[in-house]
Amino acid sequence: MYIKRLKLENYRCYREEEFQFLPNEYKKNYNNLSLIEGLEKSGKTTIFNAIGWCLYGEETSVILGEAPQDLEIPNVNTLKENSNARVSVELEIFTPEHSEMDRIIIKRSEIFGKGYSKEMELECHIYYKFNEPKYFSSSRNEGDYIKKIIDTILPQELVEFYMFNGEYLKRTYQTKGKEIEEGIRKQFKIGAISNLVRKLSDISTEYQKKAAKGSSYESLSNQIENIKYKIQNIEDSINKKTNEKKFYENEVEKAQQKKEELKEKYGELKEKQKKLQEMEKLNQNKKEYENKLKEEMKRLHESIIKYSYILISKDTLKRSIDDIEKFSGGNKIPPDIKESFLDYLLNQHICICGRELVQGSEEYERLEKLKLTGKEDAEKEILMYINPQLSVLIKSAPKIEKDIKNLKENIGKFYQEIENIKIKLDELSDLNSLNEKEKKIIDDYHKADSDYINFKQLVEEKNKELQNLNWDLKKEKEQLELNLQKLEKETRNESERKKMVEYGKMADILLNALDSLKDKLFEYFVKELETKANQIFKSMEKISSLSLNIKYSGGALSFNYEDKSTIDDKAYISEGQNQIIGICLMAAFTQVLKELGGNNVLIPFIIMDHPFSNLSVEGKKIMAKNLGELFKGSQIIMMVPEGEMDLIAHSTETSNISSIFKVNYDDYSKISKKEALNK
Amino acid sequence: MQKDEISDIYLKLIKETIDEIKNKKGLNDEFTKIIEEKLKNLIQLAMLSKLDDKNIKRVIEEGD
Repeated sequence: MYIKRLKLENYRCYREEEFQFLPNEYKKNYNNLSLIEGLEKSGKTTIFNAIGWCLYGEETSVILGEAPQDLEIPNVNTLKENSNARVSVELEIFTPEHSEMDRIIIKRSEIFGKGYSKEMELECHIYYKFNEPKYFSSSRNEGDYIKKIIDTILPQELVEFYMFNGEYLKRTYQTKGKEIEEGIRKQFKIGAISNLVRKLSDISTEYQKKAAKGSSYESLSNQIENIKYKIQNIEDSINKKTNEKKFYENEVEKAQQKKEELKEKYGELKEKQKKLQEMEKLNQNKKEYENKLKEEMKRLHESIIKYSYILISKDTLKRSIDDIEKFSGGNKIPPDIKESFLDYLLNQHICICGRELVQGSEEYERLEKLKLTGKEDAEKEILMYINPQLSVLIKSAPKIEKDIKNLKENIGKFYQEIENIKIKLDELSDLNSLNEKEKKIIDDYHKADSDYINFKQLVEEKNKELQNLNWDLKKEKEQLELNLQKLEKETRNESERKKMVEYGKMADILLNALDSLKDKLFEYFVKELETKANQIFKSMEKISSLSLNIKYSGGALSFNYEDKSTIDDKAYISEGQNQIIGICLMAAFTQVLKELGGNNVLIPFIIMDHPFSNLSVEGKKIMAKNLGELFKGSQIIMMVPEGEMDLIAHSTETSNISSIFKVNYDDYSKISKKEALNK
Repeated sequence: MQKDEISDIYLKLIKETIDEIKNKKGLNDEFTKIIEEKLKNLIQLAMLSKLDDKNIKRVIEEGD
């Protein structure tokens, strides 16, 4: 990479200035040394800082950690004249070592007012050797992309390897080990391999997932085997149940045939059995009526015996009453009435006065005597009571008669019923009870009927069971069909899955290889850097006896120097030696990058601000003389103090020098201006 | 793909890495050659900033 030109606008002491470092026909693979000479505060370091500001948005000294952030970037005159100043720095870089890119222009603009600043625009033009140019701008939301481009060609982490400030030198290599480690990975495209490793890891996972996704083949096969086994079981059950059903159907048929055979005879016997039952019932009824008749007869006899004298003498009594009424004057009682009355009293144990008559009592004996004697005294006594007693008799007689009549009617009815039953029994008189053979026929018929019902029920049960089994069979067969279809698909997937397994394995092998390779590459480049630096130190043995050891641990690089001229490991390394270290390491890095970076790796330009300020005159001469060899084929832009330019220019080959500038600062106008000198 | 864009040092270290894997995993010569070729192709993609999944998968799956 070669900076063809640098354009500054309102940048610190520069109002508007452009440095053209290379002629249009620059020398590829030559040093292309540009020198900028000037007094103190003439604007040399401003150029050094402007390049960093253009590329990364921070001045180079700030990036290197050599100066604090200073926002007084805008030109003071411009700010005085206007309320704000638009500051811009534009870099045009040739890239002859790239196969496609020809040059790139990067421009950063920022507006500064009093106490504020605002990033305006970051622009990038890329010109290609064979294709149309491309333009990117942060105003089109392409700022990040431009930063990415810059990061690719000039990683900020490696700024120490191509921008060097000898005046404010610090051993940044020792404090920025982590950044340098990252920068080396970027510059040698090890980062791209790390990125590849990450992507391969994702792709490997993807293959593994796909491989795992297709692994249902085995489980599906097992499922199908299970379903087939189930279907076999169901079919066995169906066969078994069908046989059972046939057996029961046969039994039903047999029972039906048996029933048919016995049907007629059974009907007859059933009729006979019915009649026999009827006869039995009649006999039972007859017996009941006879018992009832017997009871009624007994009651009738008792009533007749009990009330016979009343009933017999009722009419007589009636007549006697009439007679008594008729003959009451004569106090005569007809003898039959008297006798009947006395019998009644004696039988009823009622005395004439109506009280209870106790047998053997005096009154009892008196009444007996009266009955026998029939004396007139008794007649009087009887007559005194006869009327009311007779009235009672007469009044009770109809009820007794009615009761007796009822009894007689009942007896008559019972007789009649018994007669009727007898007639019916006579009709059934020739009916014999069932013999053993007939009983067996009935039993056989009943058994056949029962069998018929039971077996028919069993047939229905088997039908239901078969229906369920057929339903299950249908379902399982459907499932089997479905799974077979899936299996067919899975069989195709299985081949795909196997491929995925293979690809996954391949990805893993490549992943391991690349993982190992990226570490090897990094170690190799670091080792090469160390070797190259030590070779350069050795070539400078007149002015340096340094050796370098680079260690990598904990994700960071550490640069350890040893001065071989002393046995003290921690000997002080002078500022001059530090300047030699910085320049030699830059040279070593550039050489390693050229030798090992491969095609299309851009070799950075080298910007050095006061690189020899702490060296002796002899040291300056030696370094200047060796610049061509150290940075062979690289562009060097060097800011040197007044008077040093001649020494350097005369120490190096004139053919290497591309341009020489002198910058002057005008205290009155506060503006620096360049003057191109003839080399 | 321009295989010549891989620098010699890359090729040297690739060879070294492949030999290590070959010995460690007991890979046969034919398979080792396939791995080496794929590795170069992948690095080529990385160098050309063409690391999209499609390209990487194509390298892994090619020759299947």
